[in-house]
Parts: sequence; C-alpha cells; structure tokens
Amino acid sequence: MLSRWVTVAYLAYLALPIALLFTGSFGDLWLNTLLPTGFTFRWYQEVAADPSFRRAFSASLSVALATSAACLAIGLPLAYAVYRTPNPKVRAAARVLYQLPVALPPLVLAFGFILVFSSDTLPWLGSIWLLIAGHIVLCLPYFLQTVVADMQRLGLRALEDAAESLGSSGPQRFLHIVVPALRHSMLSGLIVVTALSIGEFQFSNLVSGFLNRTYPVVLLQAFYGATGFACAATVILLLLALVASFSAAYSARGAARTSMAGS
Amino acid sequence: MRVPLRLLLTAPAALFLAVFFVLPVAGVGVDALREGTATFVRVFALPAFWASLAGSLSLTLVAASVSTVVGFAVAYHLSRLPEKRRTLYSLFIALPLTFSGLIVAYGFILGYGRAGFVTQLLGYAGFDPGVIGKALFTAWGLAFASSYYLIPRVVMGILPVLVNFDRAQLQVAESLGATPGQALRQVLLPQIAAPLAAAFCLVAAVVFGAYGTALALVGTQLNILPLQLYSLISESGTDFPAAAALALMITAACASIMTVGEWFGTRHERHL
Repeated sequence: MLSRWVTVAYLAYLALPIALLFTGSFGDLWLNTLLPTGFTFRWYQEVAADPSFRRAFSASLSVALATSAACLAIGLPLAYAVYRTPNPKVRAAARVLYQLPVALPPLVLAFGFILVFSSDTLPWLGSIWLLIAGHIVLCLPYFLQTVVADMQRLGLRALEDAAESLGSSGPQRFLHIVVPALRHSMLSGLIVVTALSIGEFQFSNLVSGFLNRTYPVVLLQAFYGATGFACAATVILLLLALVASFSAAYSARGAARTSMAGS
Repeated sequence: MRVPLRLLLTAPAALFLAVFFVLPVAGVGVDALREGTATFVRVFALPAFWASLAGSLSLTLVAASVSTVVGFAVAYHLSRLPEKRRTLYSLFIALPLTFSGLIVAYGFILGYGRAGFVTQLLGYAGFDPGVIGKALFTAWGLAFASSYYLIPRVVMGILPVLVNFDRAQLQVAESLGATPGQALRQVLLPQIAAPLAAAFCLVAAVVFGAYGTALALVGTQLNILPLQLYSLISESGTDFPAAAALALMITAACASIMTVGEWFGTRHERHL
C-alpha cells in the first residue's frame, strides 16, 4: 500500500534531524565525516558556562511563565464568556475575532510593535514586558482553542444548569464546576503556550532588547560557530519542546478521560 | 449569564488585544497608506521585489502542495491503524508543531547541508555532493525543510475526518465493481476535499509569512517577501513607509488565504 511507504519515509524524514542533533551534541569532532568522532559532554558544559546563553535561558523561562499566567488570567474568562453567549452568531464572530492573530505573520506583528511602541508617548520597546505582551498575542489563540473545544465536549452547560437548579451561585459554579472540569485542557493549553513561547523566534528576534534576548535569538548566533556547540545549544531547546509536547499529550489524555466519565 | 457580566469577563482580553494587536496592525496600515499609492510604487521598484514575490509564490505553492499530499497519505495510513498505535504515532508526528524554526534549520543543515549526513550518503551512491549540498539553500530546499513543520498541521487537521469516515462506503463501491483507486477518487476524495483544501490554505498562509527557518538556513540571500521585509526592518536608515506597505501586502495575502481556508472549513461542518 502506497500510503504505508509514504508514512515510513515520512517518519524517517521526521526523525533524522532530531537524531543528528543529538548525535552531534555528544560528538567531539564533526568535520566532513558521515558522523562525528569521539564522545564528549564538553559542548553542554560550554553552553552551560556561556553567560549569554545562561541569561537567554532565564529570560526565555520568565517570558514563557509570564505569558502562560497572562493567557490563563485573560483567556479563561474570555473563553467562558464566549461559551456562555446564547446567540450562535455572536459566538462564531467572537471565535473568528480571537483567532485573527493566527493569520498575522509574527514578523508583521513585530514590525507593528517597532512602529507603535518606539514613539515618545509609548516608549516601551526593549522592555521585557513588551516582549511578553507580544508572546501573549501570538499564543492566546492556541490556549482559547484548546479550552473552548473542551467546554463544548464536556457539555459544561448541562452541569452548570443542574448546579443552578440546586441553588448554587455563579461564582460557586465557576470555582467548583467549571475550573475543576477544565483542569486538564487548561493545563495542556498552558503547556502548549509555554512551548510556543520558549521556541518563538520570528517575533522576539526583532522586539527583544539586548539584555532580554530570548534563547532562540541567541541560538541563531551559535549556528556560525562549532558544530558540537550549536548542536548542544539546539538540543537544549529541542528537549524543552519534547518535554512540553509529551506533558501536553498526557494532560490531553486526562481531558479525554474526564469527558468520557462525564458523558 | 447576564450581559454585563459577560462583558466584564471579556473586557481584559479585549483591552489587551486592542493595545497589543489592533494598535500595532493599525500602525502598519496607517504608515503604509499615509502617502497613498506612491509608497506602493516605491515597493514595486525595490530591487528584487518581483523576484521575491515569485520566490514566495513558488515556495508557498510547492511547500503547501507537497505537505498536503504527504499529510494526506500519512493521515490515511494512520486512520487505518488500531487506536492505540494511532495515538502513539500522532504524538510523534505532532512534535514539530512546538519546535522553533531554528531547530528545523540546524537539523536540516546537519542532514542535507554541504557536509550533511544524507548529502554524503548520496555522494557514496554516485551523486554529486556539491550539487546536492547546495540544493538545501534554494527555494526548493526551503520548501523541503518547511514541510517539516507544515505536514503535522495537515495530518492533525484531516486525521479526525478520515477516522470518522465510514469505510463501508469504499467496500460497497468495490463490490459494485470499482477499482480501489476509483473508490478512493470517487467516494473518499469528494467527501474530504473541503477539509483538505482548508488544510492546504492553513499551511500556505503559515509558510507565506514565515522567515525564521529561511533566515537560519540562508541568511537574507534568498528572494522571498518575508526575508525582504526583515532586511528592510533591520537595516538602518530604512524607508519605513515602504516596509509598512510590504508588511501590509504580506498580511493581506496571509489573511485572504486563511479566509478561503475558513470558508472551506465551515462548508465541511455544514455538510456534516
């Protein structure tokens, strides 16, 4: 069957760059040979000792954490309000509106930030807060997608109606029904946001200030140096993405189980 | 829920997006349109503008078509597997979605660059490694590398549709005398054409506006519109209105492609 061979070839295409990055990061010397020669940990030690990588790593972590917290704080109320809107046309319009940032290339958003936030009235360019604000705009649609889809799947409204008929108040329902029912999808949404924020390059490359350059922005410079160093520095970013993907999948599985128990 | 409460819940996100999404985009729009058509004439006169437009169009067409075809084949194969194995494969295939474009770029340099693993293997097989090693740094090579993060989007988009497709229809067609190929073309394809088109549009919009992988692979040497915009922005003494006009055109193109994709997507939902 043709589709099987395409799938096998595709999986090889998918795995090869990852495998080569890992191999290269432990190789002592890789110069015009098929695979590197020698085994070493020194590239990781060098990356860990590099002050600009250390600073970039902690900048990336702070930006990602702040972005996730903000997505939760402003995204969850928005998702809930959209879900509870009775008019389906308003709901559809709201969904199109909050998905708009997906259609905007990060490069153009960055350029807009440079134009608007380097003026005398809004002189925020170069601050880490502005960088975080951009990450929130880019990541929020993915958080909303995950949470709204879960709200629909769970049939949250029926649960809430039942609670209301038993005399519960709005805030009670939100805290005791909505939040616990959505915990898995909120978590997997937040993990996806963290992963996207940590890997984000196209926006950060233009907007981050010199002192708060994020990890991918600094990583690009490493590509022009020693292969082993570049591999090790890339593998660190790769590992973060892998951990995020697996934990997001794990919590999404939890969400699927919740919905089965609820139905 | 009462209307004022809903507005209260929506307000923080709405205010935030007004300042950090609508305002910057409006800023680009205002700068682009301030001098009327004169700015656009300057953009058209930029060196390499037309070459970049052609480069972007062919990159988008090639990468999106290849990704849609491969993504369809992979999703089709996955849809026939038992659920546990399908979940496992899906997890692996979804990995590139959260990868930075830089990971992709460096991984491909190691694999297919001038001294890359595959380049050298092909060299042993008798191909000219000089030619193959250069291919990665062309628009074709970029399409090949971009497919790395585009194919998973196609697979994730159409896999649910294929899983829900009732296979008995194919068996009925075949028992009535259709060849397997005919059954696929005349029974399956018409039913999944809309989601396929939607997936094509989504990945086309993503790759049309992207510059990260390209920058890491070739610097600003390659002629595509986002790289041209990037060099305009990052060079000193730039004609900002011209850059804004170029940004506006790229945004308009991406937004139109996405709108067409949405149209296909909702058409399919109504069909269900």
